[in-house]
Amino acid sequence: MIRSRGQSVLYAVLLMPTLILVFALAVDIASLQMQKLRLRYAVDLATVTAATAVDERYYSQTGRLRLDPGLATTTTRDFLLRNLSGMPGIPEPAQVAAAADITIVNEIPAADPYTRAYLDRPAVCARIHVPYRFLLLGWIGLHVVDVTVAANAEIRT
Amino acid sequence: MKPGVTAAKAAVSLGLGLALAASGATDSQGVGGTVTTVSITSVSGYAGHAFVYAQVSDSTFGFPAPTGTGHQSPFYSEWVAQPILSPSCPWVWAVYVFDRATNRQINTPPPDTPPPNFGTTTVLCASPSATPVAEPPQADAAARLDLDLQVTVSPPVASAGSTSIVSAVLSNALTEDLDLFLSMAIESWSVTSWSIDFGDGQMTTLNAPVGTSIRVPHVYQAAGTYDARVVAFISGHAQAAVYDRYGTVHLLRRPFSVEVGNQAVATASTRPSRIYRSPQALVAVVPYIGLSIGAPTTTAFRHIDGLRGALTSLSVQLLIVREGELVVNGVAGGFGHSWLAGWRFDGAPSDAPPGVGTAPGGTHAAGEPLRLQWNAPDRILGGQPRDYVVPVTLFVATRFPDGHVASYAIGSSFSVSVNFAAESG
Repeated sequence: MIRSRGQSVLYAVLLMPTLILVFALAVDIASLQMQKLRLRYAVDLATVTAATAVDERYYSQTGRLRLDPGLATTTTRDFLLRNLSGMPGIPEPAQVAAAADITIVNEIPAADPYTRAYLDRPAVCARIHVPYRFLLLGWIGLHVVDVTVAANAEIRT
Repeated sequence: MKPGVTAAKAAVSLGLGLALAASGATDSQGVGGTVTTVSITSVSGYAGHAFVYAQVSDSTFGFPAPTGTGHQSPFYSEWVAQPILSPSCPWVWAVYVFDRATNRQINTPPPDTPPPNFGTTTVLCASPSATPVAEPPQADAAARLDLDLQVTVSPPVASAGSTSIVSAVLSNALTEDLDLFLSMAIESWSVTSWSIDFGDGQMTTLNAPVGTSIRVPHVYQAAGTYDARVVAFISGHAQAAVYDRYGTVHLLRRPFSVEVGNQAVATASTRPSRIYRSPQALVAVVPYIGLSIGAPTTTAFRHIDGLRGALTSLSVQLLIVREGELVVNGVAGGFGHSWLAGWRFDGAPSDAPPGVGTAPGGTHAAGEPLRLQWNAPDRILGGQPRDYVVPVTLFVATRFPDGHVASYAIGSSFSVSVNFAAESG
């Protein structure tokens, strides 16, 4: 009869790091996805708000709708700052908002410079870069990744 | 109305343009023991000329200017009683006559005049037998008022149905005697009424004091030649000034009336055929966001983008395709000038909140904004916008080259494209 005493301990010793790694991967990836979702909401709502910045003078002069580039850019940056402030994991929301890539597209049809989405109306396109710090994967040396989120919104009131 | 006036107007209406009517009045009045006669002759004329002649005559001779400065004589005098102890004339009047304008004595004696020298060459006994200031006696004085009436019709040839102007201008020449002894003047005369016979059966009378000229518009409805006749009815006063031996003035005031008429030929040509072609116009709009209309722009649009769900104000503009044209006797007579007087929204009620948007059917002034809102499409329809046609009736006024103004109601529409724009990605 073969003695199997101690094998379970061996299994435990060998599989525990793997299980822990899988657990850490699951937790951090889920957190990352949640953070990307929050960031997506923040950028999306900022562009939607900025898409109301209609160039009223141009509208009266041409009968055509387009965005006021200056006002739309400022509005996007302002609402990015508002939306990112207080969000967990964003230590410097002002820096993120100030560094955001913002493009106002008035010549249509065109493609979103960040997502390559097709634009058939004047639109606000924005992209942010946010560092994300892992909670558990840092044990294996994976501390920070750069999260990039882009969104656009066509002109509206 | 006075019988003379009635007769004159009847003569005018009968076309007796060259008739003359004369009236005279003579009366006498005792002044200071003498007999003074004033006669006035008024000669009316209907060929453009009339006159009034007034004369005063004194049965003995005249006396010099009155004392004091309250009279219209060019001279005035001061009378001083001087005793000379002559059996036939125990005292005399020493009369000092002065020029009213310069206050200089005009009857100063020469320096070497022998006594009794009273400082004047005019010395009168109680019964004078010599003239006062060494001038010949004047038995009468006269004044004459000449009246000339010019009548014109402008334009001399007018189209039947158009307005002609009948004008009359009264000019006068007045000569008067404002003499040292006797004065005759014509004063305070004026035109009391005008009678205008246009020659086409219509007459009019102007009774208010309207000066010495008139301009009366008249429309000859039928082609032809007409004699336009105008009569001015004039009244006034002639005033004689007679001085007695004591230098007191006696004013004799007599009224007069006279008529002067004249005529001019007015020709009305055949009424031309006039066709007023309506303008061709379209509606165009200038969009504004919100309730206020901004500064006017020079460009308006037949098609615009619409912001879904936003109240849009539209300045309604007139887009002239072809101006209204006047055609006279088949020949182009020039283009008119059209402007937007008002507009009416003929479409269905828009999605604007009640009381804010423009309701269909009402008439609005040209400057009022058209306020509309479109809430559809409210979902993505294959990325396609929804097009709206907005019907509008334009109320257009056109002024043609001959001054005629016509109004037109012109139906038109503009279009709006609305996108659903809530998408984001």
